Amino acid sequence: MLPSNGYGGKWKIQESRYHEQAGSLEMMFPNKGFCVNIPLIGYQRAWDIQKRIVSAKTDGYFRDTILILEHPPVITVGRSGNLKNLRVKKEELKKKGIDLYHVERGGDITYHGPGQIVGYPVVYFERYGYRHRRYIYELEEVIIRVLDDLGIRCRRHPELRGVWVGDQKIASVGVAVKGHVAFHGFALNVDPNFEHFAMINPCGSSPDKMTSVGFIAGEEINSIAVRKGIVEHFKEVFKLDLEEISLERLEFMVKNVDRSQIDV
Amino acid sequence: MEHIGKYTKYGFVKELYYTIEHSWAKVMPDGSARIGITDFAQKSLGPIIGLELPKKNDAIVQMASFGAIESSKIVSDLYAPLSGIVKEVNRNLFDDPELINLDPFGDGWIIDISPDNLEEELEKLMSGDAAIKWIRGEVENTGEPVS
Repeated sequence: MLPSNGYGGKWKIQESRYHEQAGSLEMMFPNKGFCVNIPLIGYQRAWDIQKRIVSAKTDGYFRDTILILEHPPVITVGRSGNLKNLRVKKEELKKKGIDLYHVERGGDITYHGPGQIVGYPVVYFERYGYRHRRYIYELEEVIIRVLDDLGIRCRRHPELRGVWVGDQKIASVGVAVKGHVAFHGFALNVDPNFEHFAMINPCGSSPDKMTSVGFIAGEEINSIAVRKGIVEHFKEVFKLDLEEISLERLEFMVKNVDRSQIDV
Repeated sequence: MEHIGKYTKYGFVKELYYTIEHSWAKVMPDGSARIGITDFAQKSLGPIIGLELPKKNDAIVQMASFGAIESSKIVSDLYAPLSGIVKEVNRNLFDDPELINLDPFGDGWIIDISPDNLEEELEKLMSGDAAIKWIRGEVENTGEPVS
């Protein structure tokens, strides 16, 4: 007997397969997820973990998981991006130790680095009744609420997406969908290195268009509080009950998918 | 064309064959199959800004990804309703990807293929009343009233 929670036809197929595997009643009401708070993690490692979670979610079942983290300086190019938006030579990136990745998310070129809080929700995004465009809208909603708490008036931009303060961009969004799982996500500028941003035309716009929480508030921001705010608002907006786990535990569970679902 | 949904009207053509991934197949008079995505899918994605598609003579496999479709900030796979060899790619989409938004069942078609196994594979797809039932369920899942 499956819960009537409006998942629709396709979820029944996944759930009944899951039910055979785990036999656990708790798993039939999957509005529980995981949250992993990571101080600093390399781009490749975070990308690999996301892809492994996506596989676990696609092949069987794995809870919706959100990673909250910061990256060492890195530049990534999305599917519609191209290197003409890189304002410096690749050699200069190499000299500064900044890697460049071509990734499967939507959106153009962007920069990640310390002082910028990145969120990677890896979720069955349609289970929330969301379709692609609405999922982006709800990610933006999470950020808008966080900024509201900080007393920063911000808005969405109808064509360009992301979150804006006036005509300056404070947060970016870029998502990929594989099957029914969304990954990649969003990035909120708290106190990033604007000199690094100047090396690209972020998301195709001029680098002067980027701003940050620290810049607007004019004072040092407690980034741990911001991370907490992101998690709380994510829980609210997506109505998801998040259990905080360590990166090591997540990596272990993703490697041992079937067993871990029974233990958890 | 029918319209499903009380507020947002989602266009629907019940004579086509559908996958749960919102791709459709139309059997053409010459035996080839035309492939596209539903009005529901294009509305969900928003204005399309790009596509990654196979080339002529590439093979595609039913229910496997045959390319990608991108709207603002989000990229999604395209799933083949049928297996076959690509005969034609809709070149108009390269200049004007928003054709998919404007006319997803007509001018916004994506590729034409020579199907490998038409009869057998069509049975795996939804059509007619079953398809109407499915799309109504999809609209319900968005939280909108269907009627």
